Amino acid sequence: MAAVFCGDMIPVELWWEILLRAPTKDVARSSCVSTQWRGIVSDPSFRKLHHDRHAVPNLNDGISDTLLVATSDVDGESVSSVFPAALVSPAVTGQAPICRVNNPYGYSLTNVCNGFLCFASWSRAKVIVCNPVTGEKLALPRAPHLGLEKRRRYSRPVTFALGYTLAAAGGWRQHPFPHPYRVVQNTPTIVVGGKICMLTANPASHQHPNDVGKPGPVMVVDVASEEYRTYNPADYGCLWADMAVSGFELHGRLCLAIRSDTEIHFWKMPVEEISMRAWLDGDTHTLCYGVDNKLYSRYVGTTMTMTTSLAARCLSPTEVMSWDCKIRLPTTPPWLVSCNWNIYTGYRPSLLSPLTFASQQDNNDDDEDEGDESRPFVRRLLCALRHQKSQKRRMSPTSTDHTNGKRNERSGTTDRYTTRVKVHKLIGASRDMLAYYLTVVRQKQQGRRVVAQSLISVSSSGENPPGVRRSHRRQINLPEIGLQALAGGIRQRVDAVIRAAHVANIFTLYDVSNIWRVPLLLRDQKADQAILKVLNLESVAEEPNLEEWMARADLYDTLHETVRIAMVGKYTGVSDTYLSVMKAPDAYSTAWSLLRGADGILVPGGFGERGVEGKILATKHARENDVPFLGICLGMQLAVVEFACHVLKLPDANSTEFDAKTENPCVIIMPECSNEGKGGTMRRGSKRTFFKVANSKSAKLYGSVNHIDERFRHRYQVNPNVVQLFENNGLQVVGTDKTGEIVQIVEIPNHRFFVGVQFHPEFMSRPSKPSALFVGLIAASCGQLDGVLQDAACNHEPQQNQRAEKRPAASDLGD
Amino acid sequence: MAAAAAEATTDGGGKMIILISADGKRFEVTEAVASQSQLISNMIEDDCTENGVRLPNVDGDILTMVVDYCNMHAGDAAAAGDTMKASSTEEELKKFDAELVQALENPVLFKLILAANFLNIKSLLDMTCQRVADMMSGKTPEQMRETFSIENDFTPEEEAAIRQENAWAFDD
Repeated sequence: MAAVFCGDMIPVELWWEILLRAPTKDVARSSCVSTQWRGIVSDPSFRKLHHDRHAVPNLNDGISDTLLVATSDVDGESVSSVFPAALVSPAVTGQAPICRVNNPYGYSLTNVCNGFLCFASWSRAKVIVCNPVTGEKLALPRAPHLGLEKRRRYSRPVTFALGYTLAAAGGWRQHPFPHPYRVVQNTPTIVVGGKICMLTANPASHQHPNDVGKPGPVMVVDVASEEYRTYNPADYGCLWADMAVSGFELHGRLCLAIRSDTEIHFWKMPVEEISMRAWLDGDTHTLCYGVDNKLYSRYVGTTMTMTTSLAARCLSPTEVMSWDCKIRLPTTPPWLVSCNWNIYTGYRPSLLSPLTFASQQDNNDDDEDEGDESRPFVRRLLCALRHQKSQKRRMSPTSTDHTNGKRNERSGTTDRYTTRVKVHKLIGASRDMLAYYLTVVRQKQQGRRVVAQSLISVSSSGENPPGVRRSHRRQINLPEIGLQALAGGIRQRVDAVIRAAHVANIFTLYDVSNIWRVPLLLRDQKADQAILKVLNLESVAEEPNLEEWMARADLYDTLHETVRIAMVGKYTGVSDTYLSVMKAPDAYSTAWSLLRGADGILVPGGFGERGVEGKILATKHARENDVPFLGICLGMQLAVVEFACHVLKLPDANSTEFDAKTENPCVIIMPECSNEGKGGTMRRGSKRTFFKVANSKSAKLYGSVNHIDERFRHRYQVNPNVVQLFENNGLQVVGTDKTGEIVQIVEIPNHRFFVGVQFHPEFMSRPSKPSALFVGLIAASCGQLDGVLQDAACNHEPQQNQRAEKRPAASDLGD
Repeated sequence: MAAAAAEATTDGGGKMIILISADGKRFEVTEAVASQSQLISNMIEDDCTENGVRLPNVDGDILTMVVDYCNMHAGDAAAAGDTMKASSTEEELKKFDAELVQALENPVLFKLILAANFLNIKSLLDMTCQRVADMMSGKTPEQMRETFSIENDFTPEEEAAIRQENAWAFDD
């Protein structure tokens, strides 16, 4: 055990966790401890989390403070002084107000909730929210669509809805409560146990707005259920017009203090039992209040501004006075005439800035303001991130295979260690968004590491594109590891731009003799160690075993004979999408000659009509000229269509994907899918395929097993009704699903190698274990298929090999 | 302690998992006990615990405490060793937790936090972090620095300004 303990031992994210659990006051003090702690405490997202944890009333713990807010006139301005009344430490002297708030003209304090003071005005359209701790204020528009008359009636509940709607959902939510009563103006509304209590005037006497007449019932509104109840009034003994009323929540009960020029009455309302009591002792200018079995008194002084000390002392149990519903003070202290005071219980100090409510109207995330266009993008990314965080990810080697063309993609490796969010297809301005996104991620996810990967194209002019340079400038302190494809001369220039980042963590990827050398190139630059260091996994990781990999890299350099496989697809203009560049469908002479010169033809999967004709032509060429052929997914479906057209002589045979009205549908949509909306209706994931023909080439390639598991991703299938017709004419169905309904592998037995598969063998193909079908295609293309088939028969099934390879890898990780 | 924990769990049934601390101490625990750690739970799912789980970030002494804690909270009566009664009711658990954290000195407490964080045992992390937060209660910044050995890297002017900002928190 280490003898010396040092605060550095704890990483910042753990201090964050610790500070999150400390009460607000301790957190405020802790910001004076060090710059690191101050950084944590001033982080807006920390404040939000802390607020949610500490400032929102929680029924389970009864801890809350009380605020005494005294409003008085100082030099013609209305000033509210906010005094903390910590009930837990009553024997405190010399407390200064938390803050003094200059009431905006015409506004008065209507409520304290969730750590905020809410000021409202009868005449103005805004509500002002103030956090006494931070001193920040925010004017919020009042709920829209309220007419003047309605506003008079309902603005109180709207004000109080703040605690429920503003903090929870952002923006105002309207709660109209039609009721026959008239709420008395300038009397407080009180939140008791989540319900709003309002005093109303007697319904019989509302001739004039100012004539509030006799007191009416107390109306109690439950905001959540939007219901209200009324309680009959007590006989207060005077008219509303003659007195000022303060109401407060006392430990879950409603209490009213009714002041006239001569008297103060305290009433507990029958809403619930009052367990806390308060009154003013006029002789000693002391405010007394009781909580549970303890009674506190607080000297309130005689001056209007109440800047003199407020001291609370706990009275002994013998001093607890017994009282009825009403306490009558003999005289009213003179300062009470002009000074307005109120007690607010349930106050919990909060560090949250009210400014966070500002943009919530249209932005439910607590993101910072940002250009409009980037917001949906960023939100989507954050959603992805959050989703990923909430979801427990299992280690799944194939999870990255489901790219579905969206802008973000999630993939997970082992939980806890690393989580990868890949953002791709960004150009130009999007890069700036990426930089912004990275900033947001940084703020939200302490301890997340950022890897910047940039491609610097080596154009003839040697200039790097401005976009890359700009994105580097924006990210200047962000990436901890940079992976770059660079050309020599450019490196210095980029180095200069991103010098602020860790230069040791920038790695250069240049062109090498074959792709197997890329990891070795990174290893030579010690990229693995740098990554482990940044992720703090050095102690866990072991020396990588790259022997087999290096052997493969070396082997590759010794290979000289080329097998030319033509790949037929519509995306072939983008060399990254498919392996070779070939624009077959347009039957350009060059393309056609390329196809004719190919040793083998591969038609991969895809969607959409474009290029279908060309793919069918290529398939026809392969079938008629005994050229090895492998059709994947759509490639197989088109092979079936081609067979129907040219062998079965059904000229209009087609897939219903391309011709919904065809008389001879060979490929139809699957019953469980719908072609209405394309999202989420695919048959996908790993499914089992059962071989029906044991001596077929594909069954032999897979090692003569009964069944295989491969991954699917399709919406259409070969029409089961025409299967028999195909079989009779030489196109054999050799693999189906377990019901035998879905055709998964087709073959032409008389052909050198003509295989179509509904699944995607490339999803499960790995460098050390290529898919058997690819091996077969290439072997057939260079005339070695028979040898490979014999080998496969001798070596048992490759599936087992795969498992044997996987084992050590998994236990490596465990160590 | 380590031996006791291992011995006590052998009759608990289920698959046993061996945890190996940084200094090579071995702890044998049931899967139910070990999977309170999200980290180990994931490893169990991924089936890579066969040769023991090496925890290079956790000392033997700390791991003893963690294993005790997990044994207590596994809800497995058989997991309770002879120092604890067989039935661990909620009250006993609370008492155990309170005693565990109250007794800890700073360096050990912080090591326990790091271990809980590394092993991803949420309840233990919660509890230990709460304990540190409680230790802050009512302390001045100076006392906090002293308690947690944190260096003051503010200039006197900066510190005065921050104090001014948070004056309300310094009243008592």
